[in-house]
Amino acid sequence: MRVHRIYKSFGKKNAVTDLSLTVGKNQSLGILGPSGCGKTTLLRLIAGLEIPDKGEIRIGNKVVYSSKNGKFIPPEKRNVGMVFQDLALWPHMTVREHIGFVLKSKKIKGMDNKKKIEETLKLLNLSSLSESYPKDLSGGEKQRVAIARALAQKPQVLLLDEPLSNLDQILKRKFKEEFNKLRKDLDVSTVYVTHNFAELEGVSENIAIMQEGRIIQSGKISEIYDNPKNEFVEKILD
Amino acid sequence: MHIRIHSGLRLLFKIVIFLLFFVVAIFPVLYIFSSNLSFDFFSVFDKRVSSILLRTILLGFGTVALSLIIGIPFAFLLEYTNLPFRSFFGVAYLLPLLMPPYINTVAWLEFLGKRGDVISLNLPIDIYNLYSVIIILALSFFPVVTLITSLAIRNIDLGLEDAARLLYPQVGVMRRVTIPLIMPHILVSSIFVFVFSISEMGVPVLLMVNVFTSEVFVQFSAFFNTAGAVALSIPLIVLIFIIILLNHLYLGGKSYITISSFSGKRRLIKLSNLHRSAALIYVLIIMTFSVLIPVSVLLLESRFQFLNAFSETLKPIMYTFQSAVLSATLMTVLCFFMAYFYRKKFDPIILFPIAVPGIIIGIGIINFFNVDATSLIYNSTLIITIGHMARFLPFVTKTFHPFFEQIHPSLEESARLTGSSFPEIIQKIILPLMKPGIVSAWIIGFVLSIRELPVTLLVSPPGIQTLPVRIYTLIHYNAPEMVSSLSLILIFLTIAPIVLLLAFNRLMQATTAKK
Amino acid sequence: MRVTRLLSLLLAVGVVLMGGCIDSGEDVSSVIIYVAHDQDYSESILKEFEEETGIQIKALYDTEITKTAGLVNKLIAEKNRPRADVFWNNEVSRTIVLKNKGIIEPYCSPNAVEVLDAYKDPECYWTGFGARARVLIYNTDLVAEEDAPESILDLRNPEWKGKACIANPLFGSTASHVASLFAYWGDEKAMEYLNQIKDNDVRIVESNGRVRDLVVSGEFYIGLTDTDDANDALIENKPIAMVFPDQEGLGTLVFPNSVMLIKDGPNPENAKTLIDFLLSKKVEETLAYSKAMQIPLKPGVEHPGNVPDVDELKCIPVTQEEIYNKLEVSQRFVQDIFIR
Repeated sequence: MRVHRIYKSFGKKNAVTDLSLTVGKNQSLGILGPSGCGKTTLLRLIAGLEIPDKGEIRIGNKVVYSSKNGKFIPPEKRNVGMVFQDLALWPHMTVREHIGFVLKSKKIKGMDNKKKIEETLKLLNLSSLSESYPKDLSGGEKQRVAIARALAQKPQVLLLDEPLSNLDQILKRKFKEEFNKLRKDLDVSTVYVTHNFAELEGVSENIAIMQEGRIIQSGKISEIYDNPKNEFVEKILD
Repeated sequence: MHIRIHSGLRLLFKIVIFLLFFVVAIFPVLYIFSSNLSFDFFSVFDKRVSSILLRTILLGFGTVALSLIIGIPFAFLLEYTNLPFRSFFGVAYLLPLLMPPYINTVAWLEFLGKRGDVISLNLPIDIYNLYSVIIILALSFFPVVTLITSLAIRNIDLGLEDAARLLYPQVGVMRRVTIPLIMPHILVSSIFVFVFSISEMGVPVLLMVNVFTSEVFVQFSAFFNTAGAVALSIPLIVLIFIIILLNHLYLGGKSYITISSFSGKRRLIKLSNLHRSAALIYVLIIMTFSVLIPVSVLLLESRFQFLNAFSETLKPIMYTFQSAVLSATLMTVLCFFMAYFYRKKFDPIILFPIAVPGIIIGIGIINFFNVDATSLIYNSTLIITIGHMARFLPFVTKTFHPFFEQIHPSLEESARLTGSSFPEIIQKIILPLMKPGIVSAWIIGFVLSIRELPVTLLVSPPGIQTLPVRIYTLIHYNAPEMVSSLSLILIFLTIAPIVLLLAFNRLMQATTAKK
Repeated sequence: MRVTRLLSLLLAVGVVLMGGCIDSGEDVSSVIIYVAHDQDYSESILKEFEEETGIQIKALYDTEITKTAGLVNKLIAEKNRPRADVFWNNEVSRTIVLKNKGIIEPYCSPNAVEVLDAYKDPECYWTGFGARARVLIYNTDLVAEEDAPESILDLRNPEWKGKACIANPLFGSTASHVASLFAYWGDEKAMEYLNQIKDNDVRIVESNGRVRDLVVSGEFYIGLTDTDDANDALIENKPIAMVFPDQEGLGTLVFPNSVMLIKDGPNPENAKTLIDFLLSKKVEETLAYSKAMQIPLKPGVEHPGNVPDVDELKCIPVTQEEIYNKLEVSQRFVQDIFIR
């Protein structure tokens, strides 16, 4: 996925300014930044939930947005999966129905549909919870459902917005393990957004530091750690 | 477990409030039922009753269906799209609620029923039928659907729609996620509309359509069979209670309207110019039929003789306004505490009088208050206020419930633990949070009282006539000029205080914000 | 805080405004009358009473929609503690309802002596004055005089199919008229007649006034209504004519205003004075000359040419009691066949 010189402002507020980044195939990019820096907006721009003012976005080989050509591909056609900050699980659907809903939207019906649901449930260890509603699930379980929903459609890009913010230490660790395992098994590029550096360790190879809508520094974790560009970067890596 | 520190004052107050509510709203009704159990009681249930029941149910469902068809798209257009003049329509759609349905009927009778002098269309349409009643009532009540649907839509966690947006285009999201989520609220608004429509007496009587309310009227005025009239209101009450029960069962006690201060802003869908025009036309058509046509007809038929009508009818206008203001204020105070002490689980008691037709309540009030002890009240306009309260205390109380539900019990409990007295808690904690609830309740009480007809008709003392009564009297004399002028004055009297109140409210907010 | 202040302000305003409306008691000699007669005419007559006697009138009027029912029901509901002194009804059937429920008491007014027996209660419970009659009207532009209907039986004729209208026979004078047919012809013949006019597509409209308007506009050719409603159009030279039906046959229904004394009312002496006044020749004269063209029931009352002499008018020979007795059965039948 490639984002090239994206601009987005809401009224007078500049949310994202001249931002570019790249995520390779099957790679994971972590975006680190304080709250309000525009990380969520960035994810929404990639997903297509917001329309940038200027720039270009590519997913795979397709240009999904280009201000030069006036092109905009709507979110449902971008094959992007997203795990939202507050999870946004549908209260009126069971776990199974969440996954089924996704598959039906991709026109996967009948026997195929059933098979894929079971696969996804197994992948995320949700088989025993398939008939439960979100209100009956624990934080960690809800987390897994959110991920299952995002992955069910076999997306090219997976976006995660502060996925660990609602979990305790133990669950956070567990999540990291399972997440890495998933990445090994699946063909998906990941963009992982957080304000907590510790979360990115061992999960993303590359990170980008974001502040007030711009990327301050990007590269491998070890590189940035050794050569922080400024005080802000230093602070955030602590 | 909630810690309750019962101060003596609080308990006393709680009992007094309940007694007041009971004496005004419930006892007269119980009294009239018990004193009318005679042979005549059952004589009304003949073979005609089943066709009347059918027609009443048809009326209810028909009005609900049409209100949903009109009201839901309206709400979606307001909440999701860049409808032209969105902020204007977002307020204007409430106008039909401020126009009494029987006034609308008068206007339509003048326009299509050939009762007008100035503007009477000579079309081969006969509007004296059930369909007209359904259409007029739907045009009056659809704002309830739109209001509740809008509130529900605003309450949806935007993330839920976004998550679905990754899979479906906007319309698909609405169909598969939004609508299932707001379904309970749509159902609640349907119930309101159903109850309102089958409780309405003015419109079916004017259009000579036989449903339960007009049958009660016939028993009363043609057969002088009070017992029969009372008996006929029982199926009505049962029907309404079944509906309310189903409501409770379905929602399982979930609060159905959360009036939250949700600040998340929904990004509006930008419609193409073609769609935008279509949306505007849709909205304009609705506003035309529900407000513009009736008001225009009334304006034309009145021949703008407002000054004349006003000076001739000054006293009734004054009485109407006075008693409505007093009724609204007293009801707001009483129902505030009633709703505070007695929450949703007391609904069966609170809602008891809701299904009783106004005429029956009127007789109950006369029977109950026509004694030497209450002569002073009975011979004054105060009895009219009592009549209003008897009819509307349940409504106003229910209005408070959703607002009280927003206040978490912990707020009060922490105050009690630090030793605050009951009056202090009310004044310092509850009241400030309840401002929107109080304003809403007052407005609803005022709107309902100012247009009230059946109870007022029965309990008004000699020499005192209210505006609705005067208008109804004049319909007989076929004086469309006066009827239209006075109808417009009534509408104006309904709207003006509300506008003032809301403007005052906004002014207060602005000054507090400045501070 | 502001809210409480606002509320108390509103409350205070309301109470103050209300101040003027509370009954101050009986320091002024007064009488309370419930009036089922058109406010326009009755109000001026009552004002005259005030000026003549100095007794203050407090009047309560009825609306057409409730068709006197509001006041009658109010009187019945107030039985345990009557608030009214006099009831001025514009017909008699509901008066008898009140009599049977013990709401009224007898008073033999000196001015009642000259009233024909048929129009007063033999025990002085009520006395009639200023009567109206049921009439046929037809549109003179559409119907020639020689073709005009002369009997209510004509409503069954094929030439009037779908062209005739009457007011709702459940209420008012129309109900009394139907009941009188049941009393005079007997149930069977009356029901037959009603079925016949129903089969002839007679249209039910909400009031006698409406009947008049529809015949004036030509939407219907003929109609059955009351003299006062017809006269409203006649004095404005609208294209209609009025016929007293069945003068060679069964006669037409003549129904008077009736005035009565409420039992245990607050001002019994003033009440009697008022009743005497209403039964005076002067009042009957005023009513006769009014737009309502009401027929005097006492001899020697001056009246204009268009008001018939009551002894020259053929009335259906049934007593008010007989009409009243048939009211319920006729109403039920009407409800069955006309009001579905």
